[in-house]
Amino acid sequence: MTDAAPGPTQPTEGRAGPDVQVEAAFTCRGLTLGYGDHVVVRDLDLEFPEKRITAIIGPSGCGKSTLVRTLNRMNDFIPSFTKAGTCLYRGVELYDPSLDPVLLRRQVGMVFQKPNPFPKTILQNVTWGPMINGYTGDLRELAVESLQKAALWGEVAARLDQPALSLSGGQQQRLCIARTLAMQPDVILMDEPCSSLDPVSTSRIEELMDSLRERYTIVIVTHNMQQAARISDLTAFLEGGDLVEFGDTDQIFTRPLYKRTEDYVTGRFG
Amino acid sequence: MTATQLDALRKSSTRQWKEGSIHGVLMTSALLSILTTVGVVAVLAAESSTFFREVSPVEFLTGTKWTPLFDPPSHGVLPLLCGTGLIAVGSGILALPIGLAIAVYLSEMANRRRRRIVKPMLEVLAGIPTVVYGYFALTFVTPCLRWLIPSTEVFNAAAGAIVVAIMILPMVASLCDDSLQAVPASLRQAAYSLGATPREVSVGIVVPGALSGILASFVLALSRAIGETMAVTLAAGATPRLTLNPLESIQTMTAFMAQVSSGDAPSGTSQYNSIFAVGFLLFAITLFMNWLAQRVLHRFREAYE
Repeated sequence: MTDAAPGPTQPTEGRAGPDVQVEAAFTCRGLTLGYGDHVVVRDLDLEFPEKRITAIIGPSGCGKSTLVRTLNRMNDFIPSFTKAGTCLYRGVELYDPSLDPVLLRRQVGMVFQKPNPFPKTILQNVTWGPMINGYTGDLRELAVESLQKAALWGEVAARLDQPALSLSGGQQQRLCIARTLAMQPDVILMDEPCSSLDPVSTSRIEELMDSLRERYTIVIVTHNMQQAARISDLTAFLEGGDLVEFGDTDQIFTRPLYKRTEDYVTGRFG
Repeated sequence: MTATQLDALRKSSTRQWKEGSIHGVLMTSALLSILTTVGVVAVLAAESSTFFREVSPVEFLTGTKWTPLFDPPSHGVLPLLCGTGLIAVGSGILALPIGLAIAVYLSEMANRRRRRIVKPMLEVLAGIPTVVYGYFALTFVTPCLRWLIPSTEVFNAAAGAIVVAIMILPMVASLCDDSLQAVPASLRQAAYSLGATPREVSVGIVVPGALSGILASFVLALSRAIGETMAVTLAAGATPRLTLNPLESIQTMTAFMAQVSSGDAPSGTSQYNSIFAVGFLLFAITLFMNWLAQRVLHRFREAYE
């Protein structure tokens, strides 16, 4: 908790900065996002490398959530949403008119701020996504596997048919992660996944994210700077809709290039 | 710190009087509605007890002939119950699925502009006087039915059921819409983020999530259909008949009550008292339905914080 340096579980080779050649999952170029006339993110250039955890930090209203919700087109449901510039997912423009957002979201999953399990059983919560998407394998097997990956299996193995809403908040959030994993996604977007959880549940989610870092591209929005420092490989700092600084998490937290970044990560802001 | 003077904190008799009088006015209003209910039940019970002194409840509930105006009269309520059932079931078959479909469209698919157009139109349907529906049935629905199926009688249960369905449709749509809207947006987002289409989100997540409200609205709508009087009196006829054929003339419980109380059955006769017995049964049925709706709401309610 006291040190921004990586924990022992962190791979030493894995902390690739933006200058190291890694395939980009998302590439934003001159990306401007807003609602109606109100600009929320301005002229953003950013690459999210694959198989890395990229944290987006910044004060409230800096456009973090808007940015992350653009990556799986969840902003489509807000009629006033506007977007200019390019945002590529593996080289494909996300807002290409011929792209089906439904198919995109199968590959780019999302975990939300507040746990939002469906009012169904624990098992059904995990199997619903694969089921509607025509998964042909054994749904139960897939659910067990996903719950294991989400570090929830031990707690729910004996109660798969109980309502998901009977779980604690932290368990519900891990169930939501299991539900996302069951889709076998390429990318997992997390929009402040721990903001409504207690510290114990938070650390369990962080351990879980650490175990997922090899296999998935993860983008996490967080208000918690210690969290960003603990779990992410790369950190982007946004303020007032501008990308102030983007680089190795180590560097951002120990040797930031800009005064604004330093003030924010050391708590001298506002 | 100085000692507080009691005067600064002393109770004000004006304020106490004001609070007390408001409390009294509000409580009287509440009591008034309770007293009305109690009064209605008391009158129904008293008058029907006179009736049941002449006719045994067993004969009333199991008899298959309803001819209280004949001599000798026969007081079997089953034909009336059957007529009411035909109207309720028939209108339910039509109005419940269509009402739910309208609600899903309004809540999940329609944009704000279409919602603004469709919702008031539905409410207009709810505002049309029921007697207008009755004549609409007689002059439009029945001729259509007779054109389709020439053996249809002039007065028939089907026409009654159709207009009652139109009458309860806004209620079903509006109550279902309310319960669909009560499903948290976060659940829809979760479903969309799993690559669900709008149809899958509606059918798989939102409708099951709103099930309690939907079922409750169904029960309330049926209870309304059972209680409907004017349209069925005009459209469905005055022939108490134990039949399941919707193309025949029937009589519902409410239509019988309207017929006798608007006619010249003298007070105190068994014909006159029979309407209270039928009314009492009707009251019991709708009370049971409303209780059922409450139970359903409670039983199936999903705990969304």
